[in-house]
Amino acid sequence: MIRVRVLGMGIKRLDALDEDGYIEINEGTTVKQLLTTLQVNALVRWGRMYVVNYEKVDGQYKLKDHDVISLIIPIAGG
Amino acid sequence: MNAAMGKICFVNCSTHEITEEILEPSFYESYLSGVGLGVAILRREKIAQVNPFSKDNMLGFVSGLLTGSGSVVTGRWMAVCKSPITGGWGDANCGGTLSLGIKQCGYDGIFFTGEFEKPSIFVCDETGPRIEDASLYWGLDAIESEEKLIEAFSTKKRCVVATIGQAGENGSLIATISNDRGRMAARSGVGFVMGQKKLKAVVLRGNEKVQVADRKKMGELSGEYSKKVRKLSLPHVVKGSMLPMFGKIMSKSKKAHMMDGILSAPIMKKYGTNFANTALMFAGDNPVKNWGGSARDISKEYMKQANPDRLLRKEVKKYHCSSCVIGCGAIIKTERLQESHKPEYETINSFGALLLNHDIDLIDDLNDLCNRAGIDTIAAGSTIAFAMECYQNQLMEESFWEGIECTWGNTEAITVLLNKMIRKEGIGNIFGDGVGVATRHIPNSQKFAMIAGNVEPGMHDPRFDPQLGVHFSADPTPGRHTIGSSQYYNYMRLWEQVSWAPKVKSGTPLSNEYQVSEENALKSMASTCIKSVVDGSGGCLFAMIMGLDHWPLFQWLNAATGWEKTADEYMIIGHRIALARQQFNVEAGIQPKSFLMNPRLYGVPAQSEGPNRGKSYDLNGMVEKHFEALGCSIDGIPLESTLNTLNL
Ligand code: SF4
Repeated sequence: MIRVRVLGMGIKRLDALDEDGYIEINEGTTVKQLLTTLQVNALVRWGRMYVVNYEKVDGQYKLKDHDVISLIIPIAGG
Repeated sequence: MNAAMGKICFVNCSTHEITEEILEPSFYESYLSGVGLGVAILRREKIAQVNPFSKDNMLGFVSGLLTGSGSVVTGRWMAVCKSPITGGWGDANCGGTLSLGIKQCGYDGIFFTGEFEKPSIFVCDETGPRIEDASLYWGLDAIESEEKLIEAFSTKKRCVVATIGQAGENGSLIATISNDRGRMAARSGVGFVMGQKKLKAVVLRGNEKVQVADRKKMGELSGEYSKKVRKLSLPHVVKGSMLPMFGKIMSKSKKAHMMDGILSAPIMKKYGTNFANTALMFAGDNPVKNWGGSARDISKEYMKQANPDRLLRKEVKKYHCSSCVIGCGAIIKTERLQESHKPEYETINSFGALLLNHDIDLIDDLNDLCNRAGIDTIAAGSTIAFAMECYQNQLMEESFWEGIECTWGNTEAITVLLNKMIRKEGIGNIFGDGVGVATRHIPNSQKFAMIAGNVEPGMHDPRFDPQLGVHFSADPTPGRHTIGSSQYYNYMRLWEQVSWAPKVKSGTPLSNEYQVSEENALKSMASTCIKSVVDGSGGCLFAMIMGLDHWPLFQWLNAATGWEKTADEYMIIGHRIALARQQFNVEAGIQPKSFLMNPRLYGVPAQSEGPNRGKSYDLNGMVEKHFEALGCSIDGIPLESTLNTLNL
């Protein structure tokens, strides 16, 4: 198992993450698989509106221990 | 002296006397610079006790402690005064280029008292500070006068200029100070105070350098942050028309998510703030129809016209404030405008959804008109919305309206009324000073006055975000949307560095944000303190929201000054600045609780439709808890013990 962090909005299966946004997943899980499991908003997934460790990756990127997956969000304010 | 210039300048406009004062390094450890410097000087000079409409009022232009130090997104300046709108503390934050210009003249702040006999300008260049006649420039709009002053006072090095337009000259309470051709210090009536002093402009052209303790460290921190921001971009497949889905996600979401604030950079870099005119409409963040309507009143045509891709097509170049790597601004060209700043979210909403005006292109012109005249677009749009609701409810005889059919969405009425407000002509005399003054002329209109302490709030709905409502009502500059909100708090992740800042836990019910609780009070207090640190440093709100885990504010402050302070210690400085602003109001005789906003803004009565349907909360209780957390009585008066602890 590896531990990764998912940050962002539109995550339906929020209960799968701990209070800091961490989740344990099987080694070899791709970012696309994880976001599908978490039922992240379809447009966010389709539009690849995410980065891993602040780098663009494609959906087949195999997640590594300690990876941070961040979803694009709007600033509400300012 | 590291980071600061260690010197401030005083100009007595009545006597033309110019003096300088050296500040001890320990001063900066207590107040940083920027708003901290401003409030410390105005309190010392007992400006709280003067009549804000008299020549005794003081107007300060203050730079940020980090400006020019090699940090990034820290080039903002502030204008400070006693506000003629509230009768209390006044400040207005602005981007552009002036902040560095102040420091290059060897100062951290320039303060004006008295009043010129005839219109004048303040110039500071290699020959030092002086006063010059402004007769060539008085009467010109803010942009025209800036262009002419740049032409007259630039050498090989271009000068930087802050000016007022006709609104400031004509004594409008909602007048602004313009810099860099239409970047505005818009709030608190700072342009009124400048006009009242007959100070047309401040023209700066200096060469002094800012010393820092550890330039290498500054470079490393800035490099790392800039690289991250530059790399983040929006995938090409994502179109502006898709962004409203974010609003829908937000409105459906019942639980807090752990956010990564810097992931808002791709949208901001591409679209600037006006992505939010459509993206957040369905979240309930955008006020509609004088705050009485909802997204359900917004037509498809509005959403089409305000699509940020459509607005993007008018851009000729991106605009960055000094030292900014985000660059949320832009310069546009349209059929009617050769070159103008792109209207911000706030402007589009206040002249758009707030008035049910669906002609978004017209807002380019209204924005240009306001920038040239030097008038606050939030206040101007809000005042027209107020006028429309008064008209709809027939509060005045038909003849009062001078033939203007002030109906919702009537573009001709909006344009005519705005022009009259700028010129203070006819009915413009009633509306040209903002909503608060207008209510005095229109009987029974208070219920339509969407203000907090006489100030028209920023275009973000406190029914969507209750912490925003606390700051609208409790900040010494009421109605201010840039102090804090639950959203900002969540994005900036302060708890990772500040020991007492409550963590936002993923999965927590969002309904908690609507409760009166110690935790919410600590969050709003933390927002207040950190914003004071940011405003003392010259930082930009957007960088702050994008996350203090990325934008290394505390680390920069240490590397620039040579201090070794912890985040908690910086928050104490922020607390001191915040309470100095609060105490200024108390010294001015203001009851802080008198700033509570119009009940419509916190859902009394609750809306029956739209994304904020049924939402309301105990604002009074939340404000009281916030005041207590800050070390004040429940009425907002700082306790003696708090003042002593903070050396105030
Ligand atoms: S993010 Fe926008 S407002 Fe802030 S400093 Fe940069 S350009 Fe100016």
